[in-house]
Amino acid sequence: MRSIALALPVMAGLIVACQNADPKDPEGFAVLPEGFDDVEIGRVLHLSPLPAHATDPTNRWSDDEGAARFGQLLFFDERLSKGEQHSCATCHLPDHGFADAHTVSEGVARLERHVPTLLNIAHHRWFFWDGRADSLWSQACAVIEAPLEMAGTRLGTAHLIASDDRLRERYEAMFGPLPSLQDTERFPLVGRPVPKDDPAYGDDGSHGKPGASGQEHHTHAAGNTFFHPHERNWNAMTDADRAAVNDVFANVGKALAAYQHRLVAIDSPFDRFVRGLRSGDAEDLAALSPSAQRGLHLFVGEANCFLCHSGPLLSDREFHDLRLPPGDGPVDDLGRQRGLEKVVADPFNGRGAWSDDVVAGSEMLDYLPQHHHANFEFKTPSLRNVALSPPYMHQGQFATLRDVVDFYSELEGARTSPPSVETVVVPLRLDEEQKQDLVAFLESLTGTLPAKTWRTPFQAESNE
Amino acid sequence: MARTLLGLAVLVFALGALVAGCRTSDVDDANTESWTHATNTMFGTYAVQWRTLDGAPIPNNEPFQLIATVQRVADGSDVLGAQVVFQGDMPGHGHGMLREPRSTELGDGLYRIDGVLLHMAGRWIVHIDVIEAGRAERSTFTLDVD
Repeated sequence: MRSIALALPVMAGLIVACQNADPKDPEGFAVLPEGFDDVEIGRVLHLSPLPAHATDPTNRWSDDEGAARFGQLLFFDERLSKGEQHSCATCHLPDHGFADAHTVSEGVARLERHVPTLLNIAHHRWFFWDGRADSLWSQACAVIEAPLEMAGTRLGTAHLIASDDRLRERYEAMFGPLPSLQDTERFPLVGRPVPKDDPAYGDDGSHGKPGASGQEHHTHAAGNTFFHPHERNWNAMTDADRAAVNDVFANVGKALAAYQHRLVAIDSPFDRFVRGLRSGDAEDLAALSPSAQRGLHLFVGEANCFLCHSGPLLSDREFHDLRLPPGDGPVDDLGRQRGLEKVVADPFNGRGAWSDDVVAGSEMLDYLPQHHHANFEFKTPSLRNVALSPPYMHQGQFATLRDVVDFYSELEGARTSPPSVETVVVPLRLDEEQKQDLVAFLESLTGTLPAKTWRTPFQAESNE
Repeated sequence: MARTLLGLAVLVFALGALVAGCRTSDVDDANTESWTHATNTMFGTYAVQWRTLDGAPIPNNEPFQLIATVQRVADGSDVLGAQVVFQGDMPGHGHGMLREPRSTELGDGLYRIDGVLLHMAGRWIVHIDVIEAGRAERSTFTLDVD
C-alpha cells in the first residue's frame, strides 16, 4: 500500500516543473512588443506557425499525391451531382478562398448554411458547421449524397468511375480493381441509403424540389413505410454488393480528402511577425502594421478572442453558441446537437468498417457525451485567410469583417431567448480605432495560397 | 531577459524532474507517487490524488489521460471496485467539458481516466467523484489551463 501522506509542499514546484516540460510550449521570444505582457505574448506564440501537413490516420491516402490528383479530378467534376451541374468547386470556389459569396449557398437546391472555406481544412477535428463528420473523407462522401448539395448517389459515383477511362485507370492504379458493375439489375445506376433524417426521405426522388412530382416514385411497402427510389435500389442489392460499392465510395471520399489536404495557405504576415518575435528579425517584425499589432493585442487580451480562436488554426475546433441573429437559414437550426447524433451513427466514421485506423478513429468518438449540453452551437471557424471568404458565420449573417467586429462589440440583434450558456460572450464595447485594429489583424492572417496547379482543374499535361 | 527566464525555467524543470520523478511514464510508474494534484473528498472519506498519465502538463484543447489513486482517509487503504467519474466546468464561461471521460480500474486503488479534453484556456473546476455502493462523494480541483 502506498503511503497516503501527500507531498504537498513540493507539489506547486512540481507543477511548474512539469509545465515547462511541455514540448508544445512556445519556444520563447526575443522581442516583447510594446503593450504586451509575458502572458499575452505566450498566447501569441501559441497561434503560429500552423504546420503545412495535417495527418488523418483513418485515411491512409491522405498524404498520397496520386490520390490527391485523383481527388482533384473529382473535385471539379460536375458529373458527381444529380443533373451534372454541380461539382465541389461550384460552392468551394478557388478564387473565393474555397468558399462562396452567398449567405446560404446554392447546391442542387438552396442549402441551410453558409459554405465554409477549405483552406487548411485538414487541421480541423470535426467537419461541417455541426461537426456531423469526424473526417474530411466522410465529409466528402456526405456532400456527394446530400440532397440539397450534390444529390448524387454512391452507386452513381461508382458507375461514373467505371465508365470513364481516365477516372477508372487512376482509381484502379491506387485502390485496385473496381467491382464489375455492368449488370445494372445487380448494380442499379443510382442508389444509396436514405435514412429517416435525410431531407429526401418522404420526397418523391426529385431532390431539391420537395413535394414536386418527379419521374421516380416511392414504393408503398408496408403500412406507412415509404422507400425513396434510391433506397429501394440500394435495399435490393446483396450485402456483398453494397459493401463493394461502399468500398468505392469511401475511396472516392479519401481521394477528395487527399486533395483537400493540399489546400494549405499559411505563412501570413502574422506568421512572419511571430517568427520575428522569436528571432528578433526586424524585417519579419515589420510584417505586421502597428494597427494590426494593436488588434493582435486586443485579440489575446481584453477582447478574449483567443479563448475560442486558439491554437495555430485560430480555432479550438469545437462548438459554441454566439447567440447570433437570424440569417437566411432556418431559425431552429440546433447545430452541434444534431451533428453529435449524426457523427456517432455515421457508418463512415472513424471507428467504422471503412476507417483505416479504428483505434485512432475512436479516440474522440468514444468520449462524446450521450447528450449535448447546449443548443445552437456551431464550430469555431479558423480565422486564417478569413479575409478571403466573406460573408461570415454559419448562415452568412455578416457581410464583412467589420460587421463581425461590430457584432462582438455591441451584440446588437443577438438572440435573447433561449439564453446561451456561453457567459463569456459579452459586449466588448470597442471604440472606432479598436474595431479598425481588430480588422487589420484579421486581414493580416491571409497566407500564401496553394500553388495554382492545386487551385485549378487537374490537367495531366500541365500538372504532372 | 526572456531568454534568461527561459533558461531558468529549463533548469527548474530538470531539477523538478529529478527530484519528483516527473517523467514520461506508463501505468507502472504510478508507484512513483509523483502526484500533482491531491485533496480529500467533500465528506472526508477518500483521499484522491492524480496526475497526467504521461507526466506532461495539462494541455489546452488536446485530449489526455490521467491516473488517479483513491485511498480511504481513515486507514489509508486502497479503494477497490469503485466507480471513478471525472467531469469539469468553466464557471467563468457557463459551460463544461465537451467530452465524457471514462475510467478503468487498474488495481491497488489506481484508476486510469481516458478521454479528458479541456478545450479552452482559463479556469476549470474539475471533479473526481468516487462512487461506492451507490454512494457518491466528490473531490474538487481548480485548474488553470494556459
